[in-house]
Amino acid sequence: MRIIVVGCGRMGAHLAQVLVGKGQDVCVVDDDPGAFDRLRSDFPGRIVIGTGIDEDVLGDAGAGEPDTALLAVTSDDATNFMVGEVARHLFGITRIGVRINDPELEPLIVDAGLHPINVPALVARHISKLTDPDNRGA
Amino acid sequence: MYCVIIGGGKVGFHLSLILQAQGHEVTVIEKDTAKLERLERELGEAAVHGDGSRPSVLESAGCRRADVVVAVTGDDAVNLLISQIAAKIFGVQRTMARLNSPRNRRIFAALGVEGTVSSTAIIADLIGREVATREIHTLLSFKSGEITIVEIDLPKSAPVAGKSLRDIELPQGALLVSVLRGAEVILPTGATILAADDRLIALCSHATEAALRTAVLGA
Repeated sequence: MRIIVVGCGRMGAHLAQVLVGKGQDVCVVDDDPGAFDRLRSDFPGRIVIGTGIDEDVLGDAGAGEPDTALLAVTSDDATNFMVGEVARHLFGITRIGVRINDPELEPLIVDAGLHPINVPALVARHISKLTDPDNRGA
Repeated sequence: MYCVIIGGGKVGFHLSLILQAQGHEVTVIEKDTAKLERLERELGEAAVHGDGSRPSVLESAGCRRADVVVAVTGDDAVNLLISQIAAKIFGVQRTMARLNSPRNRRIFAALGVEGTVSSTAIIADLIGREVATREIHTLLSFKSGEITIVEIDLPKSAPVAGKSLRDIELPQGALLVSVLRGAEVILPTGATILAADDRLIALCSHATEAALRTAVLGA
């Protein structure tokens, strides 16, 4: 499976490295050429320079090819939502993760058939495990 | 009609004036406090501070009872997000969004966002047709360009400069909405006298734009 990661910030770059480490075919998209410096110099995936909301840019990243998943993980919720909608409606991709920093947006993302990556909620859940008596010392 | 407008820049501000002049109830949401000050001065309580891309902000602005929600920020992704929150979370029947880049037209259409208006495309179209557009600018257009809101800067040579509005014959289908004179916003009446360097904001149909230009700027 091909995975397109939109946004090569700290989260996107880290995510791309983890995915290639698992042997996935990864393409990273960012409109700032300097953002790719966050990837290791031996990064084996592809990079595409451009904004992920642009149909042509996603096409270059392989959005039109079968068996493709997309993860929109820029720091901007509106951009991630729009990237997800373009991937879904203009390319027919069904496995789409959309990072959101505003938990209020989760119902909308779910309603649109996209998978929310609700960062504050995920982090809070993870941290709360630290205070869970069953996980003491974990 | 109750209209919620998100984005209190040039387009949002004039759109609010026009809708208010037509007797509609309007709320404008703006997140930039500097822009908000100007909006509050001109629009009073209709101006609200907040990030209009947050569902809770839209809800407290009364989005649930809104007849139309218009997203006119300078960011297409934000405009698309707002239109979808309004339609899907609050069940707003009519959502309209400003399209800053014509490249994004397809996704807006695919999501059923109505009346997307690309001022870039309209201006490019005008330039392409070699129309003299120096003194007249399209701020916003509806119904695929059929109805437009235009801005006209009055040069000293304008035949209407120095005349009161009741003595000026505007073409049928054109409505003068406001006169901007320096920092002052004038809601025009028949007694309003136009002056050189005034900026006029008018609503007109596409068909009457040329006649309006002639009436205001001369042949």
